[in-house]
Amino acid sequence: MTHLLAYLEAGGWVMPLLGSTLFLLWLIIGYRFMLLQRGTRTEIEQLCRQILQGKTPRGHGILPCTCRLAAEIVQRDPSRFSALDTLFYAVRKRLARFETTAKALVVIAPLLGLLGTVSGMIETFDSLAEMALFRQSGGIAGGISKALFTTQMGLAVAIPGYFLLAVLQRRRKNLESDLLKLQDLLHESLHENSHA
Amino acid sequence: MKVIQLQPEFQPRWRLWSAALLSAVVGTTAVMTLVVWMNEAAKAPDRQHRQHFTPLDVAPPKPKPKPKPKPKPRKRVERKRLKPVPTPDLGAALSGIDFGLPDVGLEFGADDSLLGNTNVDAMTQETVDQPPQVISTAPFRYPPQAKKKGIQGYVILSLLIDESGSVVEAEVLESSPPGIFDASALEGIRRWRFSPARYQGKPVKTWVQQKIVFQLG
Repeated sequence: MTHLLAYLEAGGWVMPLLGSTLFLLWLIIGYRFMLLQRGTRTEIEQLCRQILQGKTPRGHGILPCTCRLAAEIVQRDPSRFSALDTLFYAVRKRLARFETTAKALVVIAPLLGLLGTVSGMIETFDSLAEMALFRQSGGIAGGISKALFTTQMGLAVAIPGYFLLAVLQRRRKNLESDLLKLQDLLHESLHENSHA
Repeated sequence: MKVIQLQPEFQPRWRLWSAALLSAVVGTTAVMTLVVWMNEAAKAPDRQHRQHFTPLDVAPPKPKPKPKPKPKPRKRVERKRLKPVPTPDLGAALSGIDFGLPDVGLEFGADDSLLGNTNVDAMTQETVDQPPQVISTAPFRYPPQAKKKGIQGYVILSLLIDESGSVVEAEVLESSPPGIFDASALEGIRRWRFSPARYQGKPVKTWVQQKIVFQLG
């Protein structure tokens, strides 16, 4: 713990920024992991049948919730395709919540580290120019350790975030294709019913 | 007719946000621990070292390194052997500026005007065979305000003395207390006469330093 504080101090003014970036990033990651729960293992075709019969799966997660809402619409008025489309559009939009923000944070973190590096190097060269190798605030050793530490911190924030975001993105794509499939199936069967 | 929920909630809000908070805390801690662990393994910044030095730094003896190199070149003047011809432009002009400026290696060669009068073809006190001698001096005007307050001090000037022995240019290198005696020193030194410096028998332009002490009584 004391080590941690010492490092945070060594990093200078970039460290609070990097720390909040780190916190926000993981906040979003947790949120999205929770958000992107499929909710059921049932096949899409079966879900479609269940919607038409009005027997929707219980529980949380994306597919059960969407199914419940879709079933509501279908039971009210089977020919209201536009309402179904609106629903699916809203669901897909919801899936992407905070994704852009998270991406931005991942990109920003190494840049912040770079910024810290630059200011650390400036400090170093300043103390070289003034021939004051050891000072209360930094000096050469302080400047260099600031420079290196902020870079390290920026990368340490960005790398795990990058991987986890990639995982989450793949998950969202899978869910989106599931939803598209469900939408298609629903449209198809409702068309058949209305023609029949 | 019921309006469709435009922002469907797949999970209860508290569940989403508590999961988010949990992961934020866990993730932040994990990354921080990772970083600390990496640095401990590498033993990067030696904190003990820094703590040892801190008390020393509170009162850094800053002005010390400045005056020290000054007496050195003066002594070298006494050597009687033939000195090598200095590089004509840059070196001469730079040693004219001498120790008055803090060394910052900036913009070399970008523009001649940045370095001041680089084109003056002058030598320095150390490189000539016979440095210039003062022939006649003139009194300096003691600044009335300084006189009233009883301030004493000195000014070190850098002078460019031409082949005829008159002062062509004068700059203040150092003054104590700063700024008070500068003007009257610059003004008064113009009236001084020197014997020109000689290099291999011929009079040459030279940069010299002259200290002028202002004392009362």
